Order: sequence, then structure tokens, then C-alpha cells
Amino acid sequence: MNKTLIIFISAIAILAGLGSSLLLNKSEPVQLKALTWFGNQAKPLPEFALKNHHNQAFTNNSLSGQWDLLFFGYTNCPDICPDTLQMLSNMVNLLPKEIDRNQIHINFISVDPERDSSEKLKQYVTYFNPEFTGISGEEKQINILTDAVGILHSREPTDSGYNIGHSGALLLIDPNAKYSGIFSAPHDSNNIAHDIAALINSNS
Amino acid sequence: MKKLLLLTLFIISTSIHADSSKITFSDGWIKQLPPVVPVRAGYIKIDNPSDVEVEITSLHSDVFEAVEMHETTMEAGMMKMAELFSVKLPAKSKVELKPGAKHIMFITPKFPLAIGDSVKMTVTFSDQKTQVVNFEVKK
Repeated sequence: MNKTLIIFISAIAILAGLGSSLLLNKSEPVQLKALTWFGNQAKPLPEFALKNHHNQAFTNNSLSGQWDLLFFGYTNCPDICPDTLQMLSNMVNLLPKEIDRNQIHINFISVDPERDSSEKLKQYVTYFNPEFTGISGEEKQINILTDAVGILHSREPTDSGYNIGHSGALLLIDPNAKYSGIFSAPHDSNNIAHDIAALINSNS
Repeated sequence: MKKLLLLTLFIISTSIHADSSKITFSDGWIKQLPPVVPVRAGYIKIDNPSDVEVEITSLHSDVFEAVEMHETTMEAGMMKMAELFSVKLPAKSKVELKPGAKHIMFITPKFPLAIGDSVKMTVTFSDQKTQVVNFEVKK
């Protein structure tokens, strides 16, 4: 199941990556700098039930009404996760002034529910940006989401505990809560800000 | 036994040739994180202008419970971290420990660190010499 899904997503990614441009409500296509846009192949997400860092429900409904970026990681990750969250904070600050910041939500989803409590996630994500949301929940519920979007994660035992290998990709969810594009690592805050601004503008 | 002797001779001879005294470090910094997180990554630029390869074999800091060398790699679509037990500094080369690549992992600070704080770390090389290096805590 996973394998076919990954092949499917990769195929879309390759197709969409060829001269990726955006044709939403605007007559002129917008050239994208970093996003692989799935176009009419956007994929609805299965139902999942997680918690945000205020311990409130975070479900499919939470992803409706605005654009969302999902990044999967864990707070004990010292290198990639802080680097990516810092990049995302810079990215939001690079968005043009006229862009409504409520039109893009940044979500950090923990793949380490054993160690990442809501309180820990709250302190962690808001350190990078007070507007960011930390999300966790039961492992089963996290896997419903990661399986559906082809995000891999696996525990790697170490002498003192474990690390978690995980994808460095940022997933784009459209205002209809569909998985509609992917930013693959390594990330550039300027390019992502350009594409996010283009999406928000073309949809308004 | 003969093999062991040869190996010992080999180790002695390489350690005689390696000379870490010319190695220089610059722009060391530690990524500040909220206190709930026990690990911090450190990054630094290293220059080995000498004609001989030297290895970093261990790291120590009084400010942290442990200091390790790690490498982030991309494997089967996932970013993974692996501990490195030495970092080679080839002759006449610059090595940069940076995000998403080889980096230093500072584990469990013994007291809270603030932005702008300076942290000392002792580097031990393959020639048994040591050097004290400075890191600045940055956002």
C-alpha cells in the first residue's frame, strides 16, 4: 500500500515538476520556484484525530479555510528540525505585507508522541514563531496521516535512547483540506515565500 | 601477534606524522533552543593548512553532559542522524560542520544557556594533542 502510494506521489511529483506553474483563478499562470504542485491531482486526506499544543482537537476540519504547511519531526532532533522551523519563521516574515498571515498556517507534527507532550511542543514551536502550531497525538492517528501523504519516519536506536529518521519535506494542504503540493528539502525561504504568496494571491 | 605488532607500529607512525597544532577553528556557534529540549547542534569551520591529515577523535565541554559528532544523511527519503566516532580533516583542506551535514551534538546543558553566551569545548586529535575552541550561543 505504502509502496504504491509513494510511486504514485513520485509520479505526480515528476509530472508536476516539469515546468510547474499555477493556473487557479488567474488568467496568467504563475511560475513556481520551489513547490511541486499536484494541480487537479490534489488528494483528500483520510479522517484523523490529533491534538494541537493547546490540547485542543486537530482534525481534517482544522486544515480547512486556509493554506497549511505540514512539517513532520520531533523536538529531540537537534539539526534538521530547528533549521527547518527557523527557515519557516523567516519565510513567513518574507511574505509581502499585503498577504494576510491568517491565510497560511505552519504546523509541526511530532512523530515522537512518546516524548513530545503538548506542553513541550508548545514551548518548542512558539520559540521559533508564536503563530506556529505544534501537533501530536496517538501514534496510530499520526500514522493515518503520514501513511496517507507518504511521509516516512522510523525509530533508530542509539546508546542513550533513540533518534527518529524522518522526511524533510514540507507538505502543502489547500483551503479545502486536500494535499495539493510538496516542497522537497533542502528548503529556501525566499522561494517558498514566493510560491506561498502566489498561491494566496491566486486564490483570493 | 605479528599483526598486532604491525598495527601498533602503524598507529605509532601515523600519530607521529599527524600534527594538529596548525588546525584553526572559526565561527563556532550553538543553536539556542527552548530549555525543554535537551540537545543542541553546534556548527564550526575548521581549517587544516598542514600537509598531513588529522582526525578529531573526541570532544568535551564542561557545560554539557556529553558532546558527540553526528552526521545528518538522506537515506531512503528520510533524514537520519548517525554518530561519528571521528571526523577526518584532510591535508590542506577546510571542513565545515553545518546544518544538514556533519555537526556537533551538545547533549543536556548543565545550566540554562542564554543567547550571546560563550561555550568552551576541548577537541582531542589523533595525535593526542588538544585544543580549546569557542562557541557562541545564537538564535
